[in-house]
Amino acid sequence: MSKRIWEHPAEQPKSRKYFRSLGELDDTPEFREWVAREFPQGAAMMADEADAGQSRRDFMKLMGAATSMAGFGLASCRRPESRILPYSKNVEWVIPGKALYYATVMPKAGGCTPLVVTTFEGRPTHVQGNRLHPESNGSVDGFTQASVLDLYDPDRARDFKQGGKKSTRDEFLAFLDAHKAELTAGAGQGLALLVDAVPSPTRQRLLARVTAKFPKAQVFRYEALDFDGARVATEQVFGAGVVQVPHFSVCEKIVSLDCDFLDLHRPKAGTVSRFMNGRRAMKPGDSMNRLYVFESRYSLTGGMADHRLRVHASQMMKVTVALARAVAAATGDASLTAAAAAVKLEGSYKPRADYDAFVAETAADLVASKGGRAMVLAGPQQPAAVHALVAGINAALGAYQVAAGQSVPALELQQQEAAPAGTLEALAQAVQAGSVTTLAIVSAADPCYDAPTSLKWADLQKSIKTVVHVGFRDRTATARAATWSVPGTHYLEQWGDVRSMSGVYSIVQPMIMPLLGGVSDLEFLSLLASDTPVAVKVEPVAPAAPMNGAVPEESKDPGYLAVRETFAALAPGEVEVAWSLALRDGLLAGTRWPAFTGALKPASVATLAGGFQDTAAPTKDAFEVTLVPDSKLWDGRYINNAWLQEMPDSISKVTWDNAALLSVRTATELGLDKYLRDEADTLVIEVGGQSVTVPVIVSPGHADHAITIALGYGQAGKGAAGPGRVGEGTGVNVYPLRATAATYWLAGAKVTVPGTKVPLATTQEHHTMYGRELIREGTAERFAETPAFATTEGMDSHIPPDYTFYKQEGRQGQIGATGGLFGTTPHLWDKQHQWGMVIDLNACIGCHSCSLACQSENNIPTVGKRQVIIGRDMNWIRMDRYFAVDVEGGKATEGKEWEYAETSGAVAGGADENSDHAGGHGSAEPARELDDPEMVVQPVACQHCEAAPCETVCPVNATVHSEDGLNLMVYNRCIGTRYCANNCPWKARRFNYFDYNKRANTEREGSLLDLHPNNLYLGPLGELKEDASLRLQRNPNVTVRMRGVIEKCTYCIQRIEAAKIDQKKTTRRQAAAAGVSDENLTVTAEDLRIPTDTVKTACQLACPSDAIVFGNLRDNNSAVSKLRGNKDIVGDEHGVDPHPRNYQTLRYIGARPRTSYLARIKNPNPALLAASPIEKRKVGQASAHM
Amino acid sequence: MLPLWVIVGVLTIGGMVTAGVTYYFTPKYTRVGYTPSQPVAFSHRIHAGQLGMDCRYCHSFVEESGHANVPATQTCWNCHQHVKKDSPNLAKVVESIETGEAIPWVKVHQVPDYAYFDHSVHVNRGVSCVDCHGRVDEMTKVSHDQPMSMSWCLDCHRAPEQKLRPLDQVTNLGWNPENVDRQALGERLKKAWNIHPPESCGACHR
Repeated sequence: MSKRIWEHPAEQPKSRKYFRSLGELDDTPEFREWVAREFPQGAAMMADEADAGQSRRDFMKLMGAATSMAGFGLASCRRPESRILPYSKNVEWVIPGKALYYATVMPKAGGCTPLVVTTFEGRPTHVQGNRLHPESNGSVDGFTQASVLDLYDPDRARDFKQGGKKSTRDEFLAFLDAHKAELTAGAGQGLALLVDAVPSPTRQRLLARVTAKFPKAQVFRYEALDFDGARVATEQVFGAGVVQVPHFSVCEKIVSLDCDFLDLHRPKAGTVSRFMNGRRAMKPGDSMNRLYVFESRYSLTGGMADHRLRVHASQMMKVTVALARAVAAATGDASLTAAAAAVKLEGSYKPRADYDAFVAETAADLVASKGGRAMVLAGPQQPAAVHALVAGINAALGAYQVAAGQSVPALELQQQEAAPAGTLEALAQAVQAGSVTTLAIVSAADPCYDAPTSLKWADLQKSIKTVVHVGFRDRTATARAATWSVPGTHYLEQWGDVRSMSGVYSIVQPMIMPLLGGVSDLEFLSLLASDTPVAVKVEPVAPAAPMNGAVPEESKDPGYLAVRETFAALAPGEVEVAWSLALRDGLLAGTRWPAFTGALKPASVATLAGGFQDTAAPTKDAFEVTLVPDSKLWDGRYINNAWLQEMPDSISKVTWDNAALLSVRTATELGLDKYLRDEADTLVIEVGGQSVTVPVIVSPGHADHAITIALGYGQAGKGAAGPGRVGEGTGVNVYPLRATAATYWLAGAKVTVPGTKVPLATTQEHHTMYGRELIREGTAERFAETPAFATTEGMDSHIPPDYTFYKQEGRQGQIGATGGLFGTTPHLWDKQHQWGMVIDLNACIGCHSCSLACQSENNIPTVGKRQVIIGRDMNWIRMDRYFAVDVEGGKATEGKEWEYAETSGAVAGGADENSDHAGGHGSAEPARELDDPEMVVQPVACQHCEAAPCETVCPVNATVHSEDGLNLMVYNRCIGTRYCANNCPWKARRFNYFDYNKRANTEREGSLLDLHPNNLYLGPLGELKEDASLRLQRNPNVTVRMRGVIEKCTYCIQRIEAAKIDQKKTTRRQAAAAGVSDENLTVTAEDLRIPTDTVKTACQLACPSDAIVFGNLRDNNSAVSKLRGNKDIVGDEHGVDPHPRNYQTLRYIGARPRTSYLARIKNPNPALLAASPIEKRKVGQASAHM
Repeated sequence: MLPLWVIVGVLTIGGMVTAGVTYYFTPKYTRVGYTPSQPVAFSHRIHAGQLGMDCRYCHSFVEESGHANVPATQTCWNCHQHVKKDSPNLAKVVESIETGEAIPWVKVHQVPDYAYFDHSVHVNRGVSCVDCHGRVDEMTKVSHDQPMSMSWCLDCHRAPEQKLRPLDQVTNLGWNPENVDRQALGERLKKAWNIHPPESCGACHR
């Protein structure tokens, strides 16, 4: 039989092209070369002759050294002796080898993230969300997921330091006693406390005790990213302490004005899943909410938008006013008309030719859903005036009312307990006035690094006589400059409490004793408030111990005692019972902020809006610089977290750095290189007397003449004086651009291109799909007309059934069953379990929570910036971010001017009458596709193909199939040929080029062997990781891979196997309970099936929008069977049909992937499509097939 | 051209070395019989043999967890606070109780880090301790009884009948009933309990 040859089908002419990088879009020679390499990652090492020679010489030197070392090694050829260290005294609940789960919360500014923490013999290793908590859907964001690693960070605060010199706890306590005596004499004159914005009732109570003891003491609150606009606006428009909680689930129309509400750091009460629940599109014709986003750069929220318009951050007021006018006109709301008229605007603004129609249709669509089904959200970084006017719009739309048939309004107003505190500005004034002599900083914030420049905080702090810093990180500028630096505790090792965003009293309980014996914030405040000397205090006892009641009261952790005291006042009924329940559930049931009963004050809206200072739109001579929180480091506090550093940014795909994002048009104007490979152009930005040099990333969909840069990077210092081994030298500090705390954008920036390049690691071209499109998307209308559009059009429509090159017949024994699946693939003989996964692209927002959860669960190493640049990132789940543009006949037009061939005329015609508009968008220039592409995301991991291409090429059978449908990777068999990775059509396999887990990834100068500057390249001679503490984070049920083996997604096989084993044990236990003797025990195959949907993968649990569904395809009731369908598994007569949106990627290959996807659905506004040809081209034809 | 005897000699010696290594450098020879000295001269022969203590008194979580836990010192102390408390042999135990430091037992059986053996599923499905650990109740010092190589595991996974026994006899290391056909019993139990020991790699390698 001749070999069947199946060429990859020729690319068909398409009207829409999906691409990850501009190099891919324009098909540059560099991009082609990169994808054409057999082993792109390896080949990059031999880029030129000189390098190659160098590598060979290094190799010979290394081999010589290694051989001689091997000789020494043989001398001690003995069985290594290992020890077992059991407990001396048994620990309650601990079963060695079994995980224990405890509820806690991660405190954050303004709320908390509810968690269930996995611990192994007392070591926290993994976190997941707490479904019992009303604010959680059981998911966890990436920051929280990665916070486990922070606990074990070898560079965290470990010593008490006085003036930078190591001290001890006893010395500090002695100092504290003496200092308190001094302060008491002056009634606390000169004492100031600076805290962060975590709403902790116990801390608040302790602060009150401190101020009671020292009546003249003052409390200040500071967060580097303190979004004051919303707070000021609600305070004036509604009343002090009022917060606005959006209920997305009841909303039909949502407008975001620069509000990235899907961003995950801020505790947002399960926002993502609630928003998604309004647009699941599970059946054709299902109602979906509609999202309009106005923003300057692509954000996760913008990516989910049904309609998106690029608007400069500084020009958002103009859009708000236009929207307010339109809404006021339609609703006849006179006060809103007045408020909109009160705003004094500077010049006109027209971000796109169809701007007027866009705003008009948006407003009309909002008004159509008024009365509790529509809302407008303003971005937290927007000023109070915008928030006030938006509140006016919301009032006019009736967003504060409860719609018929609903239980909550679109925007619920709650009355929070006020926690008065001064601002950092007020503190700075007090310091300048000389009225502060002692400052205690009990906060994760780092004002010496991130305070607004106008305060000159670093100098001010030096002028304070005594500064005590209590913090988990002491490698910060603030801690270093402090008189006393007290090591704080991580939230996983301390007692505490937090009011969640909606006011649920949530408990922080420790998982482990403080690893390095730190002092928690509550303990510090207790010490400060204590009336008796603290220096004689005994050490706190184990946190588990207080539960058995045997520990004397005075030796208990002061944090614990303080929380108990707060709790006793709150808990109803029997306190001990309530406490046990609260510890179990992680919260006190029934606690919530009360509803705010007042009404909007229209006069305040007009006053606030009228006080707005508008600025003209940016031009090419005066750029706008937008400063945003980093999607990984937030305000910079996670800088030493390797997981977060290496996680690609959701939009720009940059790792280990921040960069300036620019639009394609602006980059072209400036003559910058659009095709980022491993080096990026730099840009010098001068604004407000400050200047920074940053690498550039060209970001389609960005506003023109505007630059977005993330804050939090570039923390100065090296070695012990730096932010830590991981964060050292990463990124550029742009905090100096901020003159005041409220500055989130700066106008009038001058940019120059110095022509230098810097290395920048982005992953957007890694693991590329060679133009084979994995994405399917359509509109709600299309879904209603052709529900199965994802599988019936394009290539998918003419694939022969059961076609595969990778036949598996006869590769395994156990044949016998016939029919259905077993006829063709007898290797899948398990009749109880067949695993599969479905990822709903309609719900996926591209946030990376799944990747981080996978990293934490599966011991995935980080590799460092240099290794990422050469394409060796290890994440098992990669998040592909595609931009989509319309093209003519699948080709770019000459000169790559991605113009609207047919619409530009219409636009130009319409633009004539508006040709006088100001702003950076000259109407003479037609709109280009790349100005305004669509964005879609898709997570891709191993697809567990039934006929897996990787398995057929492995020479040593290191990757084989299991009977229950898993594509197994057997590390101990793998010899590292990488054939499998090469043959994987999804590029889902990762290779351990080095001992990333074991050896430090450090660049060394003048190392002993002088063989290679990078420790990794020294192979077995390289230094081991300096600190073993990171090992404590590892999941003991997953192999820690070594150098030279391939790894990839396993569908969390450790969880599957544990569940199977449990099921086998349960069967026996149930029989015993039913009185069946072992002798008469019968176990059917059915008994051994794991109960429906009880095994969940780490990514599935972490997904904030519940986009990932995993389960047993042999079970018709499982969620995955209902989405994917299982007729191919169990036979036509027994199975269930797939969801209409379900499709397999690269189906024509015939690999039969077990992971399938649900096509994405957009819900455009038909009226807007009719009114705007641009939106029609952009959204109306959303589709992709291959 | 080398003389023939050199060629033959080299081939013979080479062959013998190869054969020797492949035969003797296997777990059957490198592991079996390993009998390290323990910090406390604990005798399984006295406790499990003469006194007839059940394995699960000390290895208490063997039916629950993948690990058959080595007991906490507290478990020793349950009895030894009354029995032979002052014996010099128990000095380390007393010390451990007083200081809270662990007794550093030497590991006898060790599977590689990439292999995940689970005790609980075996003892709950009729595989006795004795099949892997030998007659521990007759050992003064615990000794490595079986090779515990992968092929040895697979031998039983492919044909478990000879090893299956009633669940109440799992910790009875001396169980050797007269007139019982182990093969027939095993076949019956295998069928009744639906035992299909996994043979795919993922069962142990994760």
